[in-house]
Amino acid sequence: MLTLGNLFAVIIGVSFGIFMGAIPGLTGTMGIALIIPMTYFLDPITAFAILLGTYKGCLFGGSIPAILINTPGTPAAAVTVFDGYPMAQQGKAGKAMGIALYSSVIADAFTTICLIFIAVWLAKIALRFGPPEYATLIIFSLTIVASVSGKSLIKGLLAAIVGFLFGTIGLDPMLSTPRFTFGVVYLLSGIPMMVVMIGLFAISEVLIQAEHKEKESATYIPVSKGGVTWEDLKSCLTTILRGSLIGLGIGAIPGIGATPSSFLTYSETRRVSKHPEQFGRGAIQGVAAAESGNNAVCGGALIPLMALGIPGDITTAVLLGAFMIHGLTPGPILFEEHSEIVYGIFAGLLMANLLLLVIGSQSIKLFSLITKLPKSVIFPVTAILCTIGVYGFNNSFFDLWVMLLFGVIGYLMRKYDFPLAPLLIAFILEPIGERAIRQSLILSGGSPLIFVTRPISAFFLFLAVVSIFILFSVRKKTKLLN
Amino acid sequence: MVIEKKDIKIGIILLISSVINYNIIIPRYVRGRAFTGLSPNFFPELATILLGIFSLALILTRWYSIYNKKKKEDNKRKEKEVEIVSYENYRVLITITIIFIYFILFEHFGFLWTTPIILALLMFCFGMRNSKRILFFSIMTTVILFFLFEKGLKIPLH
Repeated sequence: MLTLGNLFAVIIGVSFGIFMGAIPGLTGTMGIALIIPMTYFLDPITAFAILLGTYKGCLFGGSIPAILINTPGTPAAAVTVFDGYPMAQQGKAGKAMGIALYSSVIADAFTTICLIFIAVWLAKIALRFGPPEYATLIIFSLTIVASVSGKSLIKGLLAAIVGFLFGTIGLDPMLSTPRFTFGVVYLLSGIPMMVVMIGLFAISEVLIQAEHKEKESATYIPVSKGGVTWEDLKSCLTTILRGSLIGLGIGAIPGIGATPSSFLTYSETRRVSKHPEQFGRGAIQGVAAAESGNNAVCGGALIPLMALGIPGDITTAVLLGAFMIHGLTPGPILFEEHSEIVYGIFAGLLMANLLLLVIGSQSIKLFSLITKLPKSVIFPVTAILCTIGVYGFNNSFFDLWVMLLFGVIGYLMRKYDFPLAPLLIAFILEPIGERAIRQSLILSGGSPLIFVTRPISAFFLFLAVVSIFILFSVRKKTKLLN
Repeated sequence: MVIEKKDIKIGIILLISSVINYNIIIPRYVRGRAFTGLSPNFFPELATILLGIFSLALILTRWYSIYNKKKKEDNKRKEKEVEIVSYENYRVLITITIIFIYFILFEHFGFLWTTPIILALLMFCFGMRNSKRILFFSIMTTVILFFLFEKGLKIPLH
């Protein structure tokens, strides 16, 4: 692994991944899919050095536009917006991106080390997850709604319910009958999450900014003075560890992905924080929570892939294809027959972590140049970039109309003080949760007791109840303080 | 009190939407019946009922808040009513219209010819008045994005 060629491969992978993540609409999955053909003639270790570098780079890259222009570059960076963007507005864009980088690198390194030492053991636990466990995990994840609802819990719940309804559009997950498709073929596969996210966050931001004409000479974001200090990092270490553990656990469970992990880490961090009222207004721990939860999934998702041959998320599903192309079958046999490749991949992952720190810090300086541009350039270009990103996703013009619709919905929600996050969370979690609940009830013959008789499922239900109780106490405490 | 009135209007809209969804849209557009487990319409109906309940809760809590405020309000000092439709909102409508036109033109004429024009219009809408800068940014951005996506990433933009 430690050759110049492999080092160069990792550099290319990480740089390309950061670039893909930083442009709204382009994702790590797309980046890996684009780069796979270029790795056909490379040896497996070099090929995976590029691919895994891309995966890691993309998870961090999504935070850059999230912080600078309130536009998450990837779905998982949607949470980074909550505190990253307010920090940028306070002139702390450099600090926000710096802590995002350090959180990403530390969390990623932690889960990579866990992958190396405990992959097989953790994969066996993940295999014990059945539909009831998925269902109660999603229910627990939905308790996040209370913590990201802002001032009004009722508005947060209404936003979540609307998101939930949007999530039901498409084919029924069990019977494959159409729901809310209105005869439109495009809607049979549901509304793509990327389109919803870009419309809700990016286009709505463009519309909000369109309200006020600016003088040409005015810059949008004050240039940040100073980056992350040791004190800042020290204050976030517990948060980063929490995000790493949550990301490791969530990533190891097939089918969940980075987005719920970052939401869950954010919610838990806010819940245990001494100053929960600061979250959503530029709390540095908020950015650390989001990015650590997000990036930790990288190592976690590789655990079921490499140990059992089961992809942890969409990106690792594409990586599974890459393994096959190079004549490797992920699973226990991989460790026995190709151990040199496995350990080469592990070394590549650690190298990618280190290079993410170096390349990421340079890319922060590069992307910070955006802050010098006037608003009258940034937001029109953002609108065009979102259009291309969404169009490039599926080559569908219908996606553009849906994006504009959600942009208008997002704009109206912001004008009427409805939070956007609950809508997105519920929209993302609805398909997974509904399928899991219905499968569970089929398994149990209609009895809901299945959710309490299975230990892991009962544990998540218990966590959900405790979480609701604590979140209500925190909200009450915050109201009294205000 | 202005915020509460806005919330009551939204609550009424959502409540009416939930009633229409439950009585008209779901019966017509959500099909299928499960013989074991839950039917396809279970979760949409549950969500619609919850939408109705929480909309009602929003209306009632805001109405109660207005009622309390009116009791305490000093009659001489009244809050300035902020119009929902104001000058700034017309600029938003113009932006939406420009983006709408962009999608139509993009579909028929492609990325390369429509993007510079739309970008220039948007920059003008956002307050840029220097024509040279508008020309420079709109053309440069279009060219860069075209080469990056079409040639570099092989994402067709036509």
